Amino acid sequence: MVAIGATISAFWILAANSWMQTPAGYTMNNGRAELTSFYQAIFNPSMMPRFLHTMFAALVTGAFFMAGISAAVLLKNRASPVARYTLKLAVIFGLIVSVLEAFPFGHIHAKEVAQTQPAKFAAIEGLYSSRTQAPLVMFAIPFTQPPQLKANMEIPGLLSWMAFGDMNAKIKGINEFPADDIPPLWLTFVSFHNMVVLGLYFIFVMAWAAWRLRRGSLFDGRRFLWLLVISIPLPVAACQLGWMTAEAGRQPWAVYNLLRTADAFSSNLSAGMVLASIVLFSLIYLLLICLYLYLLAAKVRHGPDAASEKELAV
Amino acid sequence: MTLNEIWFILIFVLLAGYAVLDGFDLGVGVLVLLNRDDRDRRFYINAIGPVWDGNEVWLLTGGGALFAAFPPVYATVFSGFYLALMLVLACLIFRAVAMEFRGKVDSPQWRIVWDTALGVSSLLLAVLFGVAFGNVLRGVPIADDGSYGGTFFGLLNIFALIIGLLALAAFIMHGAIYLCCKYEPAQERLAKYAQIGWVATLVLFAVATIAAMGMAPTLLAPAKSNPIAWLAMALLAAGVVTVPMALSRRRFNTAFLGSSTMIGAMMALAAIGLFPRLLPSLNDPATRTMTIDNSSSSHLTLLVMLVIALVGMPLVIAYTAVIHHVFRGKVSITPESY
Repeated sequence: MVAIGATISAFWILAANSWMQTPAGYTMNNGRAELTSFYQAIFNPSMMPRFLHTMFAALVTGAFFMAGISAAVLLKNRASPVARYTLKLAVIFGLIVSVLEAFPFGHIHAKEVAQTQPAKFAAIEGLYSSRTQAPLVMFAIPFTQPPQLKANMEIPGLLSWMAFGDMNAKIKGINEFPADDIPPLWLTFVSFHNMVVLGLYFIFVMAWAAWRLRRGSLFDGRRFLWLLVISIPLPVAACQLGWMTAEAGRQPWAVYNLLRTADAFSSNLSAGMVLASIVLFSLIYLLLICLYLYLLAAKVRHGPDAASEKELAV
Repeated sequence: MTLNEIWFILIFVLLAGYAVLDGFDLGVGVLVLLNRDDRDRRFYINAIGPVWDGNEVWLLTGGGALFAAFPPVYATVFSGFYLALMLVLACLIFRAVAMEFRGKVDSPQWRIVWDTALGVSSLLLAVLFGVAFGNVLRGVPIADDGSYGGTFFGLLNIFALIIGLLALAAFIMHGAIYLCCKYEPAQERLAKYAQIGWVATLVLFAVATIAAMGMAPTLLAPAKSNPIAWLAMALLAAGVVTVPMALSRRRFNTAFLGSSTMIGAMMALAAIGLFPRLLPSLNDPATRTMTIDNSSSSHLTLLVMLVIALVGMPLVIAYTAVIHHVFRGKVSITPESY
């Protein structure tokens, strides 16, 4: 029930966000977007790619959390049957979802962005001038004035091929868009590429773990277990970077090509009020994360219940 | 009946449902402050433990329905009441966290901190909801672009504060009666709180009515002509009579029905007084008042939402009923309790 509820809830939240990215199923009437097709509005072009990419990101996060906590318990008690069982489960599941998250779902989502939001695509891939045989930038340091990449490592033609299935496909660069319509270049490039690096790291770690599981050494290597423990926050970071890519990449629009962020804010709110609420909630969340970590650490120290340990001990 | 009218009624039903359901668990939160006994507090909190979050869903759906059906009203209220709503959000967070965290560390000081957080945030929430609702009933200054034209302190006017205290009194009464049904050892003192809450609710309701004559006279107009208003008043009277009678005979379930009826009927009277307005304008009632006709979404949106609501609302009502049925009777404490 919890799983179904969470999935349905994610579906509707992402439908709303996707509509802001790629609005559909509406008509403009006196400056107001009015619904014409509920189906088209919900299943707008970016909906399903975003939904699958986000859901699997959540599954990867869950798998790493489960693996990391199990590893922490094993570091304390190498024999714990519960932790061995949950770690095995998390590794098998984690490998499957980490791979699926990048391919096909990440790839499909990026292809969709190339079609529906070309300015965002150019910004996140660091393509600052239009070209055919566009390269896939593996690593670079972006500079903004003027927009350029330094110390690039790139694979020629791969971006054109990945986005449009043709090495010679022409991809629009940032130079083709009016200066008013381009997203923040530095932030989108950095957040997107770090997300991708983390995504590849997740596949690597889970594949390594699965290999150790097969070889029978998963539960013994203390250093590898520590690696799993410190990897717990990384999928969360990847999710944050992914959302930065999506949201900063949509700028300067609140609703893509329809409503500018500069026109979308509440005119009767002062900057001070908004700042005050950000400070308030930052403090609350800071307090809560400290308490959460404290309680989580206590729970891990305590370990699984004796009863469930007995049940799983064969 | 037009779609706009149906959506006015549905949003009212959601908010009235919220007041009746979350009303008692907010009241229980306040009552935690009035009882220093660690064991009693634990029973109080576990009495609402399984149901409080489901109850809060009614507020969420009410706000969501307002957003989708009457977006200009949502925009004006939620940006105009910004600081107040941020305070509401902070209180909602602390309330939830307090219940989840209190049992996680075995230390009396730890529990005192969280129980106090629960009590204070429940009290603030009851008052803040009342104040917000009072402002909607009285009307607010609306600027020419449709946004809220007042200040944060403008929200703390006498009429809104009276409604805030009325909400607090009614929720304390309602929560005390709920606990009487759930927890025997404290029944004596809880029944007393329920009676005090009942008296305070009546007095504040009378004060609010008199205040409305001066400050929001249009609210009272339907009372003379609208038969539905008379029905709501009859229900209110029935609830008002039932509560003390049932309390003195120790029939707490009946008393709970009575206090639920009181709160539901008061919400109904407020809605009837507002109709067809959603947010009256104080500065220019004739042209800037937001009504169900000048502030609604398109016809198709309202229709699609109605289909969703007709599927969704029975589900919500069903699971609310199921959860209350599963946890019926007296509270019991297990190692998994809060």
